Amino acid sequence: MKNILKYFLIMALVLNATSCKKLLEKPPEGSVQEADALKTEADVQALLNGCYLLMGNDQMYNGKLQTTAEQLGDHLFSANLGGKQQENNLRRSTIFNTDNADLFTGIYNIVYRTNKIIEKLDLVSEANRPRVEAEARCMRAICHFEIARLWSHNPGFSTDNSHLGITLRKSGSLEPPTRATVKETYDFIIAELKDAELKLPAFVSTRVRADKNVARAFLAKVYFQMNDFTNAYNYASLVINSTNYTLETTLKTRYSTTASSESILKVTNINGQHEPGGRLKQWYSGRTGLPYFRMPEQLYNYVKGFAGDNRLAFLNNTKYSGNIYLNKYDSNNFEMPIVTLTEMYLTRAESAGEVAATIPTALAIGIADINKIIERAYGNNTKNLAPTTTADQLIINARIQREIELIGEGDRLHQIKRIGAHPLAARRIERYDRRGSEWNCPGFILQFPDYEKNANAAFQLNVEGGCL
Amino acid sequence: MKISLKQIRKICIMLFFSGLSVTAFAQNSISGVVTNSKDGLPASGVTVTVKGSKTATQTDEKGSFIITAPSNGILVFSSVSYARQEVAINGKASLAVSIASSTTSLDEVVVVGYGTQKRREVTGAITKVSGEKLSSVAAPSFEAALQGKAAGVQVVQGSGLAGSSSVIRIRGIGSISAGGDPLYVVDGIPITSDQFLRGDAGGMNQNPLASINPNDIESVEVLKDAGAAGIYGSRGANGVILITTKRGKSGRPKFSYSNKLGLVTYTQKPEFVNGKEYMQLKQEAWQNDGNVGEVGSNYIPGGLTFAQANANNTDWWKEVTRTGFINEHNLSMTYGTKKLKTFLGTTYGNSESYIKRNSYERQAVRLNVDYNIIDNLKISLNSAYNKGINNRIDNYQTIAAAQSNLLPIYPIYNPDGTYSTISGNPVRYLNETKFRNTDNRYLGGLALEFSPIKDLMIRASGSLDYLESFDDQYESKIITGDARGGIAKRYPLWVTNYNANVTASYLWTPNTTNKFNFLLGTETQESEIKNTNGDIYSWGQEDPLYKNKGIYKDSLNKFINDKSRKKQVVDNSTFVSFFGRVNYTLKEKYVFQFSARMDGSSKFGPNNKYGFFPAASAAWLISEEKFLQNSKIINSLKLITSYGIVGNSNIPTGRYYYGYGSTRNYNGSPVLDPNNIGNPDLKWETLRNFDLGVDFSLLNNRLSGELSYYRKVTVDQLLEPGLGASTGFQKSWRNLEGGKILNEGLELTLNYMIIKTKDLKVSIGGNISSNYNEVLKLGPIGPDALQGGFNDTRIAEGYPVGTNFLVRYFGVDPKDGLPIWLDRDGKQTKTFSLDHRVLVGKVLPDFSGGINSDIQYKGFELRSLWTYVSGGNIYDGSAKYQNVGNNWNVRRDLLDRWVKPGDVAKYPRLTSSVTNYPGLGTNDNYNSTMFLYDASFVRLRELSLGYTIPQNVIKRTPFTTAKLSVSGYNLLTFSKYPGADPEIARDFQNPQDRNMSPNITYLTPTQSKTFIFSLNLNF
Repeated sequence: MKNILKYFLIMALVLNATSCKKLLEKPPEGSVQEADALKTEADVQALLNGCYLLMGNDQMYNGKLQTTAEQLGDHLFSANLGGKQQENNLRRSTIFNTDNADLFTGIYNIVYRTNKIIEKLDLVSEANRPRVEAEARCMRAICHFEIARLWSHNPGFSTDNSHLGITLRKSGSLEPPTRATVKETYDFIIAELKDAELKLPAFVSTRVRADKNVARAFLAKVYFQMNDFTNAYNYASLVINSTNYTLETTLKTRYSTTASSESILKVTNINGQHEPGGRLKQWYSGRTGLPYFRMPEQLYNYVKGFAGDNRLAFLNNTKYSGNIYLNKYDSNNFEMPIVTLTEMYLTRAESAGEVAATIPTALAIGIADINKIIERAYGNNTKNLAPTTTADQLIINARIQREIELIGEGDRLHQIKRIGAHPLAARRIERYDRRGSEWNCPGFILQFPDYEKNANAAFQLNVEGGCL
Repeated sequence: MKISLKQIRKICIMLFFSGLSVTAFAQNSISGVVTNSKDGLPASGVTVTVKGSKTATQTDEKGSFIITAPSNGILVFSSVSYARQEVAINGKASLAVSIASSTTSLDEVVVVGYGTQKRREVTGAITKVSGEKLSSVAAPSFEAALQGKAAGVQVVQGSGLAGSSSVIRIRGIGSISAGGDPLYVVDGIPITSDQFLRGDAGGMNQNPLASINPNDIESVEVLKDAGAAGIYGSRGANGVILITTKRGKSGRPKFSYSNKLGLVTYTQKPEFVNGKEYMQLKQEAWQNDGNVGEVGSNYIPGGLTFAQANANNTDWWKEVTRTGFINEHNLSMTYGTKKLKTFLGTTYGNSESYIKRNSYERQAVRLNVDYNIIDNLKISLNSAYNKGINNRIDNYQTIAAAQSNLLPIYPIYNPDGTYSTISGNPVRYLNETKFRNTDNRYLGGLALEFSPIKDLMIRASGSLDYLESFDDQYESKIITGDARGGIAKRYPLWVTNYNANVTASYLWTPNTTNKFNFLLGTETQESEIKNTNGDIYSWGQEDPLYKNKGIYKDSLNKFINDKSRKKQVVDNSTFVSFFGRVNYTLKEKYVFQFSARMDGSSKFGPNNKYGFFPAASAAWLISEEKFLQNSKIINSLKLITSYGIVGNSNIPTGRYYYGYGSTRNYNGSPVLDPNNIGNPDLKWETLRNFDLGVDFSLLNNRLSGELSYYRKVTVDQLLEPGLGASTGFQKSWRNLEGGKILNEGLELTLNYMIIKTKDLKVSIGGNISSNYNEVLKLGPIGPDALQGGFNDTRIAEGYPVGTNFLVRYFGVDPKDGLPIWLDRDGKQTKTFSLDHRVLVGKVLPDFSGGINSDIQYKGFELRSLWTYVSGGNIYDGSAKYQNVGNNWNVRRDLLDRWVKPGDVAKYPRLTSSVTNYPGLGTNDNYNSTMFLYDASFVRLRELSLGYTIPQNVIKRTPFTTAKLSVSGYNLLTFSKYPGADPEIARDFQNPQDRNMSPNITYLTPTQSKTFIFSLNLNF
């Protein structure tokens, strides 16, 4: 037995020799652990840079957000749409729409990053900390706003906005999702943007990062979506009055590689590194062939009805016989404007009509704003609104200009819902949608991806369909 | 008669020993011949021992032996391959002994983890299948040939694609996201068997096991319970398949040659409408939608006019299929001396499938050498090179397309003779592309066995499983349409598996009633998968890169140098393990075994780095008890039971890290991207496994069998999905807290020798397995959390793994032809909604198994194997698209439709889009019980007629045996499934999909029907 013990002892030594702690640590190649990845201010800044890239280039504003909203709207030719796009277009989206799920996850991935940044602010120098935090909060708010617009009914759907909104992700935890009310959702968004506005730099000349005007522009958008016209008017005015931005003189430069003077926030195009607008080019561009997304004849005829409006040229009905396509995104590459001065003018003009009764100077300002858009569209001032234009007429004209100006930019859907939810019956149009749906029909908002319910069986999904 | 030096030496030694002992006993020299009772052939290598003494010898290649023994003594004949047999000498000088193979004997040697045991010592559930039974079958891979041969082993054969993988499940499935495949161990080397190394490229999961040569296999042991598989710890939960390759045998060089020549076609052709019928259906849908007149031009797919569409009638199935040819040749040699034993085997085989350009070519060579350096030191080499060339086709461009988007109204060629490309064109694809996967696999191990003292064996082994795989794709200029010409692309992949283990085993026999067998060991394994981060390509090529290796090397170097490509590690996992086993036999009838393994792995998080897996088992050889020793009915009876904990760690490595990557920039500034949600608590999945079984042999060994009951409960399931998307991620690896999945079942194997005479032997056998699977607890996750990837299956509490979650289809409203659904409460509705879905149907069968028969008359042998599955469902995921509105061809079985008011039909009215059915937003969601079918089937898997040429005919030839046979596979199938083939293992998206969706079809190519002529020669 002694010998046996001796041999087993020898073997035990061999066993120990083979035990190697390092051998059991095999991180995936090219992947760094969080403790090593987030150690310095530069690391946090790099995480922040990624948020912009994801927002402008990979996910939201590369076209996924805009095209999703357009699928739900009334500016697309429906007959050739299939699969997930057809489902959205029929306003019957379901939990299995993977396009919607990817967009949803992508936007929340930015939120996850912003939360990580906020958690790691102690790594940032005191001098830079307010800016970094404000940029993160600004983007976190923008993400929640865009998700809220697509996945929950518009403010005004219920009188106290107690209807269900979205999951608010204020930290990087993996807690199962639960929906806040729309009031809580918009309160959070506004608080975040206001906080960001305070801490952000006044102006970033490259316009590729958030500054005060970015926060204000989005505050204007948020309030406008809520039909809170006073705040929308005021915040749009702050942006416009900053004089940092000027309208492009021609219509084509907003989506080109030439730096657009009207971009308040944008993603630049750097060939081979980031070339934003991928989804817009993929589905709208008719540069090399008939695109997937085509425009309805009804819309073409509507724009054609405004004789002399040069924006009709965006709707090309000659290149592909029998088909109309939007050539706004035909450039091989272009800078992606995320929020623009044009939108601020359109927002302030319509808001001005709404607040004309309480702000005496607003009507004239609004008329001037909308005339800037009209003059550029027609190439002259023959169609300008007269100074005697009433508030109601201004509102009507601002809505028209907004629709034509922002064709294919994902705005139309939100106006259908906003105008339907207008607090004043006289200015409310419940079927602003040309396809005949009421603004608050269930299918006008997207169904949540199944992943949300997967993580929480009690998660309340949206009601589907019922629009067409 | 010539006497060799060796024989003289043997005789001298025997004389020497007999001289020593002659004073004590009346010793005689006994000679004899031992033959195999089955075929009468010489049984070489059989140990002949004089009972009660240490005198022993071995039979030579002619089965002959000479031994000195008392005239009233008893000789014991034993061997790995034969049942132990005792023969009384009774004063005879020569003996003729017919020895039975050990398949039903308690003395049969069985390969277990890290060693061997006699069947009587085995306390776990182990099924042994001989290599001959696997290699004789026409199967795409050796593991597929296990079908119907082992109770509790469910084998769902792969599709008709060459080299396709089968789904193997041992006693059910308890995993969700982690791989549910068994661990494959070849000669002690846990090998790479990952079916997802190439994802599901081309509509098929590449099977890395396909390159392994079935002709090299001596036996396969399937370890099914914790008593058997517990020694594999964190990798034993799905069962273990031990593959033992052939080794050299004593005697002069012996050669064996076999071949297979055969024809391959499909089991069943799905029937589709022709061009004219298709247009009629289009017209019908057009009118059903309220249109009048001839079907609108915008509605005819492919931009064809009504007249053009009506003029075409292409049979796309015919264009992509053929009669395939099988051509296989195997040659092997064994040679053995006292010191050196060698096995050398080589194979060439090419198996064409019935799909044009699709074949699997196997080239293999194996050299196994055992060399006794000194009496107590042996070195063993296992060495195999396997080359598998899969001449692939993209399923979705050929055979699947022929069943779906390729309409009969589409032409093959345009009027100008160019290829039509309306919706792909398989003729163009087959002529103008190449797609080939080449696996070069080296499997080698070197082991040193040292016995420093009696009964102590120390074994150290190191092994390498290296797989170099090239996926070559080529497109001619006609396909690329590029001025640069054709493009040749290659996707290389390298998988390296190092394994080293040291074991010490000690047999301690303190007295005749007690016997202990100790095993202690340690093992390390590292597995690494590398690829290039993209394809290596070259433009302007006329041929694929496998024909231009220089261009591949140049391109690879160029891409590496310009940093557009790099070799990268995509998975690198390690295990460090310690294990031990004690097997205690009391009075030769009570056996107790304890085993334990501790596994550390790079797959587990820092808070759970090591797992401990104990198992206890016992066996009672009831037939050895006095009260049964004289039984005329019971020859052997053994009860076994085991309980143990085993694990499943079949997940990618390093998933517990919070990962960040940094490869991009934003306006010139660096970007950091989070790419993984980590989990430091991540650990193995745990299986608690109880087994109770009985092995028996009755009626003079004519009836034998096994009956087993098992209960397996899996907890801490490894789970990847189910993370709320609002976290910013859709997946993260974690253990399902509180999750519990039950597999409980019964297995019965019976073999009965009905007639056993000199000339006629008739036997029948079979097995049946019933596995009850239920998800006992799942926790607060949604009903769609656990999906089968592409396939519409779910895991839900109270239901089996792989349940269909579908809207119930009630039927067609005879008034308007619209479908009527049932909502969740069973109320009829015409509005489709995913909210109406309920859990119905299941992919797992109630029973499965096989029935075999064997009739031998003189030299003839007729064998058959039927396999069957009872219960379970098939979901046809493609049927929802098989409609004119979707511009897919229409299967004839789906034509029973509503046409006019009053019609009672199986399927609803045709329409230009199923979105015209209220509530449906897309064809993708058109899932319902309308396409759920009964999965039961019975299949004549194998029918084989063989003829062994009598010895008197071949005695003047160099051959010792010669056998001819003709066989047919998948000849008959009986099923209610109206689609092509009821046995379905489609391409899967990931292991979770594979766990949940074996019976979901999506244009899965029907299985092959094969006719084989084969010849086996020994010389």
